[in-house]
Amino acid sequence: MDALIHSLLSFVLLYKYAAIFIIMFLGALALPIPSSTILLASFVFGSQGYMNPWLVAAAGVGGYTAGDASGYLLAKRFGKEVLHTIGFGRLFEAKWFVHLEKMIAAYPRASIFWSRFITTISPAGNVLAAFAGISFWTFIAFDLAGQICEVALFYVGGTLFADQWAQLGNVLSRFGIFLSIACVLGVLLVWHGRRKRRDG
Amino acid sequence: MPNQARQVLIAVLCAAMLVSVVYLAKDIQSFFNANPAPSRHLRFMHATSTPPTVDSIQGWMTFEYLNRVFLLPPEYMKDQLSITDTHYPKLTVDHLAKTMGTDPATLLEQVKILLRNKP
Repeated sequence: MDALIHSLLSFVLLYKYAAIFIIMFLGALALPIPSSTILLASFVFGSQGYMNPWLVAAAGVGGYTAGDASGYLLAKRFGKEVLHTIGFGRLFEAKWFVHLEKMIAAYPRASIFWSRFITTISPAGNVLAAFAGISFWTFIAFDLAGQICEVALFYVGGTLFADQWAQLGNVLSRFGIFLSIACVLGVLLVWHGRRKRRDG
Repeated sequence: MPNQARQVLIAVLCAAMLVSVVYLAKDIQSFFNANPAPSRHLRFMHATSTPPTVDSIQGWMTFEYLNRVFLLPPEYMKDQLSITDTHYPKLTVDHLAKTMGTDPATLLEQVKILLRNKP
């Protein structure tokens, strides 16, 4: 992972805002790229005078939002079709999946906004938002709002902790993993509780 | 999903969460040990330009970046290291080491010495 991070950092130093946009876009599309760490480092480069922090923020928000929108549109157009073809058709019939779709449809704004802060599950959130029938403009509005807030946090982190950005990146990655597990566990516990009450 | 399978999955996720909390706590502790609160506050108040230290220089950094943040004359590193690669300064230290056939760690040390003795 260190080698990947170093390569991406060189890519950012060489191609600046275009590189940031591309990395954030691919990260939002669910490719296993440490986009949060790279964005944090980019703000550090901004605080050191190498790049303009406003343009870093614009590239970050733009890349993330474009990636999220692409994931949403791909899922809406091809998602269920492709999953059926590769043998995951039963997924849509599973009660837990139907329950999850209903939950997201019931709280679309909060689901989209808050899932932006958990980069490990936000690509899945994009797909579920498409499957749950949330309108594209509602999705984009709250996605953009969430991304702006998230990128602002990275700006503060990159500026405040310029000397220890790598360690901060580690803390944020682990926190992201913790939050992702907590979210999945939370949904599972709610579903389990309802099943027990219904069966009992 | 059968009830028992669900309970096993919940138990596994709880264990995974516990493990992630332990690692998170360790990371937070080492982060705060290296970064006391008063210096964080001061850094934020003067956050217009915070150059890196020479010791923090790494091979993935480009000469363009080093020239900019250390306020070097554009041709300083090129002249001192006899760089003939036309991509300079859009060139990483590691890539230069590879093209020169030099050990990357050795070249990095040379770069650090040049930064410490910069004009």
